[in-house]
Amino acid sequence: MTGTKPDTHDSAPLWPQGGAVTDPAWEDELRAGMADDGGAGSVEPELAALRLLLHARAPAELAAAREDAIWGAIDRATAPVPWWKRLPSIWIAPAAAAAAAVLVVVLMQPKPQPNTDAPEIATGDRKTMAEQLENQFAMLAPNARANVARKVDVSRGNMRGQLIAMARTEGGTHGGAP
Amino acid sequence: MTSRWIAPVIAFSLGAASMLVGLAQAGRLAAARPDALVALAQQVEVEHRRVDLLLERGDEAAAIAALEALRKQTWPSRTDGGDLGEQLRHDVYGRLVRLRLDFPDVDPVSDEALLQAIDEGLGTEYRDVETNPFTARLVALRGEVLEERGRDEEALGAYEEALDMNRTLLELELGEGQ
Repeated sequence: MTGTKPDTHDSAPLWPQGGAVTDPAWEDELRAGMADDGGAGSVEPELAALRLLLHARAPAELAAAREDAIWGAIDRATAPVPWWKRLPSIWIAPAAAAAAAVLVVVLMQPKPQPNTDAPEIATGDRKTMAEQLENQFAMLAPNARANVARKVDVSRGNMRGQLIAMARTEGGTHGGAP
Repeated sequence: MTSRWIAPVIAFSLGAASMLVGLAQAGRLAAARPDALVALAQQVEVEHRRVDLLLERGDEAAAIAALEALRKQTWPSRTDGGDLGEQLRHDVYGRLVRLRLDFPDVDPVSDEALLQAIDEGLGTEYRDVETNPFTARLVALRGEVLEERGRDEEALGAYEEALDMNRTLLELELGEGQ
């Protein structure tokens, strides 16, 4: 306690009136003592303890109207949100995401070029592309021709096999030459 | 208990095997008539040698005429000649168009007629044919003719298509080399 209180060294009883610690007069005495000390210090901690003791002796009750108001507020705060109120939040997020995606696509889209900038092969590139492709063909063609010839040979072999098989079958069926 | 699993396991295995075979054959259509493919390959080979000789003699007109005559023959369908038949046709048409572009004064034809010849040579299923340099060259030549006609956007598309094919082929060759 930072403030003053009745002198506890006196032989006189602490509360001569027979009052208990919960006697409201104690608060007056505390404030009077503080005033005697020139208002220095604080008696609030002691008063808080006093009010706690008062409440323990006779608990304060809320007025019925006040109690109803508090419970009403609690009910409103804890009641589940109906589906039709939640719906916007369900749809807003995906719709916002889709809108953002569309925005990104629109922003990323190359701006339409004027007609004068329509795809056009530069004069310098004209021969270059055609020549480049012709050079690539010259490089790839020999191997491709060899590949075609090899595959045709395979087909020729298969065909020869089929013809021989057919000849043998016909020879067996018709008796063939003696 | 074990017999319960046999049927599903066999069915699964057959399905997986069929799928793998299908994938392996995708884009590699074999000739249904190997005789047609072999005959075509022989004819094309002979004509190429003939054209080589004519060009060595400086007779571009005869070379172009020989290839035009070859062009007018009846080509086997993709089913009969397979992908190889398609490649052989693309090779012949590519050589013809190359000569036409290199010697525009010999038996001149319009760009429109040249484009028509290229489309006729490519056919409608050229994108399904196994990637090869002959198809890529014919597509590139299409780009060249389109470019001559000022259709730069389409020409660029054709060039890029041909470059993609060649890139695939070069990667395959590099992979085989390693």
